[in-house]
Amino acid sequence: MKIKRESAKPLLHPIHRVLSTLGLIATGIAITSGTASAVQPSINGSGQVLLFPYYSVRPAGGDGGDYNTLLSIANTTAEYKALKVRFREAKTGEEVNELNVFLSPNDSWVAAVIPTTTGARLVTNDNSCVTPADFFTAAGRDLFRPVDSTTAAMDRVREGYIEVIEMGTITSTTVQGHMARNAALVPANCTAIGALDPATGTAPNVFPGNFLAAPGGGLSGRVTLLNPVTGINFSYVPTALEAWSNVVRYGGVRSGAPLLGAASPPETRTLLEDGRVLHSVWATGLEAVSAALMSDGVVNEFILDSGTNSLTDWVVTFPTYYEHFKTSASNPYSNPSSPQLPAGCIPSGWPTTNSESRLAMVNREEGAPGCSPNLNPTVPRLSCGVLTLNHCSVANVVAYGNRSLLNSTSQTIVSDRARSFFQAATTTAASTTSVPGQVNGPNGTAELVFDWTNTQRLAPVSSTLDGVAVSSVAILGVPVISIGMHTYTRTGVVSTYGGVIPGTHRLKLQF
Amino acid sequence: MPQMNRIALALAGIAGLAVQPATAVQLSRSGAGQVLIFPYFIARPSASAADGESNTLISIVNTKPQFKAVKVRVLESRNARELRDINVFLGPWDIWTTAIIPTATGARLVTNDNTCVTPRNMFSEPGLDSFTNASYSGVFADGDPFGAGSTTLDRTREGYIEVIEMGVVTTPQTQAFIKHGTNGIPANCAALDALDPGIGTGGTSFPTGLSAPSGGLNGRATIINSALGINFTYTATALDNWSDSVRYGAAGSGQPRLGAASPPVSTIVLPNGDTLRQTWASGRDAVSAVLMRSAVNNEFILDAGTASQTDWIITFPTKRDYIGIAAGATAPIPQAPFSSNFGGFGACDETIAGSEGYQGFNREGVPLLAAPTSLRLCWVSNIIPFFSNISLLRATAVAPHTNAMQTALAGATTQGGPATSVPGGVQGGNGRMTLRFGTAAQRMTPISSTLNNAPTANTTLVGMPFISLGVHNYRRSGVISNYGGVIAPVYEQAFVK
Repeated sequence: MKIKRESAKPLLHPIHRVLSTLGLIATGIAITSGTASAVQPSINGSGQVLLFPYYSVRPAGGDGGDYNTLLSIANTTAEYKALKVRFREAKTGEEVNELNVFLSPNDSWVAAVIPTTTGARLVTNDNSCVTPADFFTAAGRDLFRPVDSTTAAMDRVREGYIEVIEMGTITSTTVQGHMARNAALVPANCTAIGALDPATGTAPNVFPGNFLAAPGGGLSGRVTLLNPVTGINFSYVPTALEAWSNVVRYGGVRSGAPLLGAASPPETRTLLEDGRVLHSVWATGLEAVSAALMSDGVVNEFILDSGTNSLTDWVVTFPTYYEHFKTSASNPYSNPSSPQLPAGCIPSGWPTTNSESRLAMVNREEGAPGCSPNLNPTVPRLSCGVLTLNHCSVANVVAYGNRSLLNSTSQTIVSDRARSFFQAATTTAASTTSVPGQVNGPNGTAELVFDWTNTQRLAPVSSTLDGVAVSSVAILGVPVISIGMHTYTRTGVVSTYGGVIPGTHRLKLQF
Repeated sequence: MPQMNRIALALAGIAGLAVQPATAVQLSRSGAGQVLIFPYFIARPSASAADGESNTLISIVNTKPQFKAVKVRVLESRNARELRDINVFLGPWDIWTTAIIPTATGARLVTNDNTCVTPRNMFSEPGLDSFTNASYSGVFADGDPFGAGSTTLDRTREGYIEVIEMGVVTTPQTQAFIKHGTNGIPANCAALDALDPGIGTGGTSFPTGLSAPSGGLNGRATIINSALGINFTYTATALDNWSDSVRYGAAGSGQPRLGAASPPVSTIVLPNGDTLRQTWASGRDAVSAVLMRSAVNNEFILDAGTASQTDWIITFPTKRDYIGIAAGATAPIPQAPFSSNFGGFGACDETIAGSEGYQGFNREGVPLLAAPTSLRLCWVSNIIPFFSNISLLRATAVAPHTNAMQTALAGATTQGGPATSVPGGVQGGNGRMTLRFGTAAQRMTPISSTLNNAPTANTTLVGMPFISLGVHNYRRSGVISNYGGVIAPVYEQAFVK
């Protein structure tokens, strides 16, 4: 570890500013590490990459209205940053729109995805520079592009997920000057920044040139899925990745770059539940990002209380699915053909071998109506046989109730047997309750177990565990991000006050 | 699928590996852990009956196939005085749900969940489920500055919650008591009372029959006002590896404290992936270490067109173990990183003064004040109201912005540039704020430190141990709803060597 002292007073500095931008430090002691950086999910809530599992502009169904998706991205650092903001549709993860956003120190950028007659578009009233500079003024640029010319393809753009990637920090004082706000809070010269895009300008006067340094992190974000008619507000924060790249990763407008898999170096460092640290080197940056997002079990609640007409949807998004299927290398999402598995779908559910006790679905009192709980307390499991949910899109919505709260057309296939379980998961209050006669469910907990076969896994090139080399380690599961959403409604209140639950993501290794 | 040697890392003591787990309390990566800290609850009637009341719904899930003895402790906002302390016994994958609701004068816990609790008659004997002022009245009075309200039950209506896994129940007979039958009701909750050393009448009582906590608890809270259509749902902060030994405390005993972590070692992951592991003088400090943050960043949303309000919650879960009562000759010396005992104005800690410590930015990154002072946080669970110092949550334990900051927040409107797609759209006062700690007292130094398992110069953590959340709402004319949302903050860490 190296200590750099730049001032005698306040002896501190937020470390995330320090790691890549020593030159910008005004005060404080900087701590840098002698070890290489390694991509990891952020525990502080900010990072170089933000992954938002879901956007939607669909009609909400039920009590009416449309979903709008409000997006807010903040730069919590004193750096100038160049970001890629990319929207991918839910079915196969095709890009439906993208733009580059330039944030000055402490700047925020807000935008909204709203429905059009046939699809979706991006709107903003934020002043931050974007490229193309005419994104919000030239006719049609802000419209989401269908993956082909069919009506169905246009409809597909109405739900999906969002990637925000920090491509680099802007070190050129000239470019920083273009981004500086005037008295009306408008940047000095967004047109000049647009002219620096490789698609517009001429080398060497184009990005990245000498204008950028490696990403510095410290981005945060928020999405609000809003239905003003019913009063739904599902606000959530994205999954953030720290230390995604130690080199500049600039991609011009509509260049398709950078992809999420452009992580550098291709390493991960993971704090395990038992306190040990697994450091792994991967064959590619894509595998490193996938490894950082691997989970073999997604646990969350379902709330379907009949007295409040509650509904629960979970969003389950596979952020690296699109890129893995464009390469021939190891693919944790691939599955062998199976009579139980529709082609192209990712299964989750009860392990076929029952080799390990895992929760699949229980009501609030450990019960599983329609199943026989195994009463062996050391290996409790439900002898329901195989209960499989098939996720056949990149961004999937698991609807637990009798309809999708999000009115998604990208729904996970839930078997009748599983759905009848959810809807029967009512619990009976005991005589000791303080709330006589209260509605009691259905509600409970479910886990999506990504443990289908030995294909749902990734193996690194090499690993150490607390500094000691270990061989034959595999991380089990699939790269996944998710959130759960639920509602309550009350007669006479025009509101379906919604809440978001991030859920728990389990990590499992095999040695 | 071939039979494989599957190893769930959740289970300690993995055989056949060269490296043994280094037990050290840490923030949970997965969202589940041995300890859950819920930074805020409120159960308060609105001033107008038509506006209903705030309730807080709590859900605790055992995601592991084990039987667990869990402490649920409810503490009030101002000085973390205990309001109720019960033990909950969760079967494998069991869930316990409860709600905190107002009474005529205070608040109480209610449930219609069947899971065993001790004392068993908690929810059947009148009054046992009501929050008590016993811990801050009479000989325990703490001089809360709210005058006549200092010992009233109104103080029980806001606070925070600790959930601590005390151990895993290993005795088959006790497991059978906890296990729910096909009717969803446990076999014998009364027998668990008999095993509680505070209630039982002898024989083999807890902690006999328990092994060390194993983690896997997760929690969710929903602050709800059904009349106003508010639903603020958040998940608890989870700590893993809190203790490697049983930490049983009888119902109502006040034990175990959050600071009973064992061993007193903390692990922090740095943004570049490095691991800082530190040994402390006490478990209390190890828990504080994993919650130490030098700064918190979050949004404020004050759109005029939607009459939006924003509150931030900042809770110091370990503060009660560092400070005492200011009055009297025996007042203890408050211990770093805290600097004030509880007295006439609470027990205040401040951000760093100036723009570095207390600064807001509008949506275009322009600072709100040229020379801000500092923000004072005087409670354990503080509510910072952003709209005219009026709390969206209707909280009373508030940390108001300075007058200068309030004026600046009210004027933080941004104007759309010529490139906007939304001509004339609502341009709220919105942006974000940073609060930064790190005064001379706001730091903690361990006994020793390692970085990636190698010795390193001892490293002082700079900041305060806290948990934060932001809540905001939108309103629309004609819709009786405050469509509320919760925004998790961004934290920063800082160190000195």
